[in-house]
Amino acid sequence: MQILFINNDGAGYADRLDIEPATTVAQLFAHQVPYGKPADYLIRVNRQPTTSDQVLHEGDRVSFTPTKIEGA
Amino acid sequence: MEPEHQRQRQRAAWKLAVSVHRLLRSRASQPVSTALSESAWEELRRAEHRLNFVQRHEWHVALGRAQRRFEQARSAVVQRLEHLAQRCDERPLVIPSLADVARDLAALEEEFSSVALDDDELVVVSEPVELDGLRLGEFELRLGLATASRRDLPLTVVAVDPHPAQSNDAVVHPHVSDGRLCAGEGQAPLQRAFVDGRLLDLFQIAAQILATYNPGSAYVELVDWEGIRCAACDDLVAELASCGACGDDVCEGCATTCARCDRTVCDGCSGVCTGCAEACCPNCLHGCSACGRPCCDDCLDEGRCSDCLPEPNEEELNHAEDYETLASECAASDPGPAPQCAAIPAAADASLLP
Repeated sequence: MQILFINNDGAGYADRLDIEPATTVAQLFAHQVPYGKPADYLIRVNRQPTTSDQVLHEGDRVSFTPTKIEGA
Repeated sequence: MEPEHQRQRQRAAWKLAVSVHRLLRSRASQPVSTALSESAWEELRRAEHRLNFVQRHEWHVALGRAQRRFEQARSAVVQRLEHLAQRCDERPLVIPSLADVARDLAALEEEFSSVALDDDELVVVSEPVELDGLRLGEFELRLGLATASRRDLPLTVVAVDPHPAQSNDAVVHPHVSDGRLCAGEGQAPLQRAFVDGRLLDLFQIAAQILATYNPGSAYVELVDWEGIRCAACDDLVAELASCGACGDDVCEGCATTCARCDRTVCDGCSGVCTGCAEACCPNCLHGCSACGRPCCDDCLDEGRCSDCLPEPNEEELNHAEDYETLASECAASDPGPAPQCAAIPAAADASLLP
């Protein structure tokens, strides 16, 4: 199934992503941000705070935004 | 919440979404200039024609100038072509759907204390920012919606209740100066969110930058926020001067200017000349070779202070009196230039004269 995945880490990424049905937020995070810890990110599903075990559905909008972004 | 009040809020929210959407549409409809400047091309043609003409007629004197003119015109055209290529490679500005704009605005209302449209700027107020115990208060994040510029993100940050750095009024946050957020590693995702029209993401990223302190790259470090510490008196002040002798940074009250060389030195390094009582730096104070007391160069004569200079003998006194008499007689008889010390010999060879 397809979701809109937004990763506001690094250079920023926003595009459609194919994932397996019944994928949870935690699983998606582990796959897309293997170097990161969920506690260090604002994780939103359809613009709302979510839990790590929330199951994703077709067309969901998922965003990961780091809580620590260093200015210059 | 009463149904009527709820309906009013929904109407206001929808009206805001429509206005924001209209502005985002207007920015995307601004044409991207892809035309190569005709004047730059024409100048290149003229310069080429001139160069060919000069070369054909073998006008060697004019050749250098013609070549320079051609090179300048060529560089200008190449620069325009590179700029054009860059514009063509840029991602087009996205017009998000009205529904997406409305959802972003609704989520912004939940995440931030205030969301409003001010002319063509979407203004969001952050939660109070506190960094390492320093309270900086809330910040207005103002995003220009109608601009199509990609190079300079139209985001301004304004402190609601400014608590600027002691040394610089323009710095209201370690990473904000003159309203400009220095986004650092947040610059790329901010730009991306702006191009994509993802308003919620853009403001979330900006808010997280404000909530993060990067001591290595601040306009003013937090340790210096309330002032910089004087190495001598330990007071917090806005400005320090570096001692030219020991290198310590001291405040104005703990610094002295050397009366001889004008160098700034701290009170610990400066000394007082026992001759003229002026404050001097260590380089300009020397001990009298007889008594050792510190004196400046002006107060030493052959290394001795005035107290240690030997008393003149009778012959020296007479010589000094004769000299003073002669000097005053010369001044009285000829108020013009001083008489020459050596007369030209009468037997000088005239052929030597110019």
